[in-house]
Amino acid sequence: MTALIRKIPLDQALPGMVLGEEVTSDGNMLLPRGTVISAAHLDSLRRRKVSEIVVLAPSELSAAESEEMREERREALRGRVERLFRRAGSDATMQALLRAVLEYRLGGLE
Amino acid sequence: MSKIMLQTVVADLDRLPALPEVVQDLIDYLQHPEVDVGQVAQRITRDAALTAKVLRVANSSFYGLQSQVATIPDALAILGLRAVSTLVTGAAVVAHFQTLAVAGYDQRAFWLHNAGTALCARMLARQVDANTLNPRAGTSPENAFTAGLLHDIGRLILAARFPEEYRRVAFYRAEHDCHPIEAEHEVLGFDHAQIGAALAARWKFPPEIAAAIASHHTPMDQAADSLASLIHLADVMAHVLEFPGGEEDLVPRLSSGAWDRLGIGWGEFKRLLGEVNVQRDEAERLLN
Repeated sequence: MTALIRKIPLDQALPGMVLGEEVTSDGNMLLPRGTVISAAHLDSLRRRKVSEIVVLAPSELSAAESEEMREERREALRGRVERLFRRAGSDATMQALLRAVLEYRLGGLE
Repeated sequence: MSKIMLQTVVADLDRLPALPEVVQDLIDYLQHPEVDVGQVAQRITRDAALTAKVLRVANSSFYGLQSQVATIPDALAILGLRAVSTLVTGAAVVAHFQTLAVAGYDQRAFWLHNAGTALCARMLARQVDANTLNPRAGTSPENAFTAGLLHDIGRLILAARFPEEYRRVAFYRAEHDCHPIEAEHEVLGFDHAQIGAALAARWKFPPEIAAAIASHHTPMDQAADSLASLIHLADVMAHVLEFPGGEEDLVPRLSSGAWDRLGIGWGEFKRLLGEVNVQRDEAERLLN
């Protein structure tokens, strides 16, 4: 996967952002690519006079976010379908119907 | 509290506002084994509202015609006599019942469920036709559509004419969170399918539509190739697709016998759900 990255001034960096490139200082690697930046990292980078870092672009972040949202929606849909089938019991035909409906409703999210 | 009997409700059907004479006359005429297209056209054109309805149906997306149909004889020639008659009488009956005032009853939700069932029934009928070597007129998409539109009519009649009994049924259902038909059996000792069947007989609906209304919860009471199994599954589909939806809704128990009779596979079923879902706006339009 090719990540969209952008260079930002350190004072715009926020905890939770993900490094798109490793951070180096005087030829030494301080943090590897992919690090989720914490407040402590930011303090450390400031002390080492790092002025800019490269992070994953917001679109990449929102993709990660929307995966979480998709999972939430899946859960909500599953709950909704199970509510519609709350009186289905263990009847084999109703269970087969429930499976088909779940597949249909969850399939709509992909 | 004294219990009403099914006979009480059936006897009361005579006090419902009668169908417009033109519509009842058309339904009666269509019972003849030999039906003349000219006679049907003449009966329809006697009523301006009915004429407009036929042309609207003929020009609707239901048929997807390339050019507009302007006259009743043209509509009958292009679409077929039975097809037009079934759709028109269904639409006329719905329009008739929509004028019935029912205090404290969500008529819109009621009709949305029935319109959704009609869309599902039409889709199922086309699929069953496509899967069969010899498609039958009784389970035609037009018949299926109209039967779907009217399948729960008994419930509306109960709510309109016996509101106190209807409220007791609704209360029992909410208290036990059971299927509505179970509440009807517990509280009344009979159900909306029986009331609908009585109305269908009284108003002389086509026999296959009457049988589907009567047996949509008990499809195995009817012959294997009857419309009842199809309407039974269409009802289930409409609940699955949330026509009308709501927190209290329940998917009715699907009869394994009816499912097997229709010969539809689960993969096919999922595809049909999607195909009805993309046309769900049509259910709203049907009611306006």
